[in-house]
Amino acid sequence: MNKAQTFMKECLFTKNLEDPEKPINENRLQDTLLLLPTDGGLTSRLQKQRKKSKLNLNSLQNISQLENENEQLKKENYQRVNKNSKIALREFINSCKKSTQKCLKLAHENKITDRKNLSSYLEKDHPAIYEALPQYDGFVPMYKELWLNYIKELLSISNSIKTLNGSSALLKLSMADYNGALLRVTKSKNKSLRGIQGIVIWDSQKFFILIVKGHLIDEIKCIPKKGTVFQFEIPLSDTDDSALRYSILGDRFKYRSVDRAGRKFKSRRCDDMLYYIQNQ
Amino acid sequence: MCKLKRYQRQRLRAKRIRMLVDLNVPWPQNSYADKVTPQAINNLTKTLTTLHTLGYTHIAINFTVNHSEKFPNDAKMLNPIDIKTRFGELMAQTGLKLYSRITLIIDDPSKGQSLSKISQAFDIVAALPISEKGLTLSTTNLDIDLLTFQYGSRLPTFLKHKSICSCVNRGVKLEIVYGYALRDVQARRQFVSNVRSVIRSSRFRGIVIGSGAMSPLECRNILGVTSLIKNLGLPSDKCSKAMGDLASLVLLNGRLRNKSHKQTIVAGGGDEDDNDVVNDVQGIDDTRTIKVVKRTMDPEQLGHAAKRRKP
Repeated sequence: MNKAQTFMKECLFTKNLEDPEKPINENRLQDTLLLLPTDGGLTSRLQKQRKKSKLNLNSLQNISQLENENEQLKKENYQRVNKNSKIALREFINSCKKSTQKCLKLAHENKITDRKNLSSYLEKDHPAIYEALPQYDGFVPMYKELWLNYIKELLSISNSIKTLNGSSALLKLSMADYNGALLRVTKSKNKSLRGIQGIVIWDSQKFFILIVKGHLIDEIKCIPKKGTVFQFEIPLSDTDDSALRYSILGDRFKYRSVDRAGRKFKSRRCDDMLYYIQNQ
Repeated sequence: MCKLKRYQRQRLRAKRIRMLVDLNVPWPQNSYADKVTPQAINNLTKTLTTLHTLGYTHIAINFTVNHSEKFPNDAKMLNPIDIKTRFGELMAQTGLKLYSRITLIIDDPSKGQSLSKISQAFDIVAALPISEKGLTLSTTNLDIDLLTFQYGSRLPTFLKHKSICSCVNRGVKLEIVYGYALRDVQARRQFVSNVRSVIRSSRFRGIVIGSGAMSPLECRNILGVTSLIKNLGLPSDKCSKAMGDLASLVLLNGRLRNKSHKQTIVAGGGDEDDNDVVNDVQGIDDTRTIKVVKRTMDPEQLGHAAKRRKP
């Protein structure tokens, strides 16, 4: 002990502290963490409410305006509309599938092997089925005019790709919208899916719903994302033949496009993707 | 004649389906300061051709460095292997696929630097812990593909089921290097006990076998390796998986880190033969991660592959 410490103890600590021997209370130095009961976030909630309920001149003036705006934005029975749209989509898909089946059967019975003949035959004899058939040509402009322009604008491709940054392009593509894209299944656990190509009409959580151009009639196919790899191409210019090619790993893409936009993806162990590298 | 042809065809088909992977062929450099002699390169090329004749299709060249060493700042200098210029001819001739791998010797984790920059220059990143701290770090939160040990000397600590299995569950594979068993008696003794403890602690899961061959004489084919490792307690089906499926998963994991955004969208790919991230070594632009191809997809095409091919 040097002198300074004794001086501190005798002259300073005795005046201020209860126990001059131990200037720091040992209970304070407990190394375990104490768990105390909380009020379940009640105080913070109350504080927020109090802030909101405070009145001032600005808020009073704006209230009437805000109410008006809100009423304009608000859609009536939003939930019901949303639910109905789901049902409508499902019905559309089912009716398309049914009508294509019927149509193929008719074609087989009447031995029609030509697209033109079949459509004229259907138009004449079975107009109900003909109208329910999905038309691929109707969706082509969705790809050509909407999606291609959108994706080019997103990646800011204009004729040359010298300025394109690969990694940021991948990031943007992972958040992009694929409704209207032209996809092709390249690898799949289910071999019969391989090679199918079509335009996406809806990008649901676990499926890509494609419209596929067929030899006789067009079909709608729901292709599961699980266990499938899709490929798409972004043509660089109209005159040139070159294109950028990317593929989507369906196993890591199982989110709705709305959820995907703000999502932070994480790498996981890829034992489930062995099918991707095995040449079947 | 007909029989011979059929046999050849069968062999070809078998070859196409099978991926035989060797993840560990040492690069003749132990730090960035070392120089590479043409003789060493020649020796390495000989080893690679030997491995090719033994049936290997995918080989990773392994560059081992100390983690605490100073890494060059320039991103282009990070990878000294330079596969395209040195082995491009060999790859074209034999159809081998070569990858670059870095193994970081981890002693004191506080001294090392972040892996993100290093891992961009290499296809596979492995860790080689030589202390207990290094082992805990590399099993818990390092972003690596492979965990390997120095099989010629004692393991840093006793390996516990819990840490090793959690590491395997995370997707990191354990590597056994059989080259140590072929050198001297002392190393072989250590090799046997180390491999047994690795197999025991991993409960046969996630084990990958690499050669570590310094010279062509140390290469073995799949049967030789299987008989060796089977003797040490790994079931023989796991042995063949360790050189095929699981090793190719390591390649996939490593390639996806650089060539994709968090395993969602990958540059390249395609429905022609040999066109996924792992097999497509040449096509993807390494510095910019894009792939430019001739256009194959058109909205006017038919939707089914078989019908599309008909004229």
